[in-house]
Amino acid sequence: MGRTARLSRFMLSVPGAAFIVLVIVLIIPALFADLIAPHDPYKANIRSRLEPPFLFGGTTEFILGTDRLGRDVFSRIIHGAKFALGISMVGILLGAVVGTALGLIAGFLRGWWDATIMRAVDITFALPSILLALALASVSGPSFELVIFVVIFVIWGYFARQVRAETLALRELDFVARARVLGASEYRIMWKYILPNIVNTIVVLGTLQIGVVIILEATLSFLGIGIPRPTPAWGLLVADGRQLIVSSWWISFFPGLAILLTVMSVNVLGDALRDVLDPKSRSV
Amino acid sequence: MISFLKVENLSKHFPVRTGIFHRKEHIVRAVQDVSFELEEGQTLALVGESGCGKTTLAWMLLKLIEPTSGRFWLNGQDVAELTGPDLRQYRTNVQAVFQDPWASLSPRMRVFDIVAEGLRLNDNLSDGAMTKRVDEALCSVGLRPDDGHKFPHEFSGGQRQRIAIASAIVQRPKLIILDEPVSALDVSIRSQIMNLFKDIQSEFGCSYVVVAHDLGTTRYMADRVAVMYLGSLVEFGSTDKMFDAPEHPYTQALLSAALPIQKSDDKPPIVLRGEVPSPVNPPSGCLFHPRCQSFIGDVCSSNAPNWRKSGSADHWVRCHIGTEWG
Repeated sequence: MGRTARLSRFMLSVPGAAFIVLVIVLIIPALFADLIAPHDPYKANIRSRLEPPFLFGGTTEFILGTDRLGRDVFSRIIHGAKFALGISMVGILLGAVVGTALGLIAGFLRGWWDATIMRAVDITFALPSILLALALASVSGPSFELVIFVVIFVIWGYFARQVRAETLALRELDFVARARVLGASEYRIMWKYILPNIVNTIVVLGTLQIGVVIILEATLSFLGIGIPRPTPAWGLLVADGRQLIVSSWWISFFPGLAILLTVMSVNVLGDALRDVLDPKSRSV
Repeated sequence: MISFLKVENLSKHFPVRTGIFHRKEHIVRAVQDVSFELEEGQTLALVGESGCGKTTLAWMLLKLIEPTSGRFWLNGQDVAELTGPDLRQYRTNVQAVFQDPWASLSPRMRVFDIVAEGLRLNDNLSDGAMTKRVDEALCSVGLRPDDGHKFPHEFSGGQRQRIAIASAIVQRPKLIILDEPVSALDVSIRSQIMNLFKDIQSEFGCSYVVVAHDLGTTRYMADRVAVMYLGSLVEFGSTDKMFDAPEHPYTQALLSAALPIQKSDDKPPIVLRGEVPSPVNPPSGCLFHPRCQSFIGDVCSSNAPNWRKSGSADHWVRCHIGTEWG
């Protein structure tokens, strides 16, 4: 099968469709927000406030309508994609690094390390993350750093658990014994023998966490403890339309739709990636 | 004279905790008081049923696990006391080939890196010299230097075992521990791999300790055979004597259970009664007495037999039959 044929077959499949949706809703807007957005997302315009979307009585100037301050919903969603993508990338990257390193140490060195790290995982799973964020926000005020910190706090445990489980299985294999016979250090075995064999798992897990992180970021912003206003984060956009949901439904509906489409397509893609890269862990 | 490899009273006990709160501790005597010597350039086979401690013994020789008691010497050096550069030297001198060639090669490393790993860790070679050594090793095992760029999954089981052998010989070791080196391979390629081991031995003069439960492999490869039962040696001697005139009832049963190369004798096979006893709670007296087909009385169940030299050859048996008891 030629490359073009394979590509077109992928595009027609469900993961292919999810990929296209993701590119349109998240990636292109995040990368080219300034070029695509027809209006300044921060600029209020009292004269054009609460304009309905095009086809619902509005004009093509504001295709998805405007909010209470007359800001263009379409432009704000497009700029919001930057924050959704940025925060999930940075948060997952850092969470994956922390979780993988600790999971590897726990699974490979066992003993005291294992007990301590896995109890820490249990604690982070037991603590309600929203409550933690509320507590922290009341001390430091809402900020990007706070959101990133909460994201790392919520997701590192998933990486640590999964990596530890795979490490436990891998360390018993003969190629690890062979490395020991050759005189490889523990550090070298972890870095050169175990880690390359769990990269697939980490990539799959990271992809599946994007949806979780976008929802988390939106939740925190919605509650006012995430990204500070007037930044057009998706969660904030949904929160903005809360009181007007009956009369001006479009203010909350379209950002909500963006969240829904992104999370759904990321999850479909993550599942597909898992089937390709890591057929063993289908039930995770 | 200092013997090449000398093992004295080597034992490995594993504690097993059971019960609520892990209160009860049992001891599994995986290897118990094993002693033997091996000359340079020779091959010793360790044979016995699954679970008799062969692999545990091999892993102690590889310094993958520490013995509970006992010592062993390589070229007169006490291996337990090696540190620093001497330990590095031991890591170059003693290599291993494991049973399963699917598990013994990291799937994410290229063949070149797998083979070169020992040189990277223990020798300070230039890139050119290292490539030359790796290419030589690949050629010695019947692979091409080009194969170094591939990943292990591109090879068949037999070829993967060749890669494992290349990585074991690249440092020109003196002793290679072969842990069931052919039992995971197709029968059709076993003889090729065994011949490869013999070729390597005549080329480099290395010694082998082969762990095997396949007696065909043993007879073909070994100069000396050590028969293990429940963690202890029961018979030790030259391969020919062991196969032609085994003295210990367990060795006799083991040989009788093997498929004959040609069906010549009419003797019915010896079928052992019962199961291998648990190494947590080994039988009194001779470890083999509950299953022995030649059981001769109370002496077997009450006294542990001592080593006894059999005939003029360097052949040792641990059985009451043939002593003043029997």
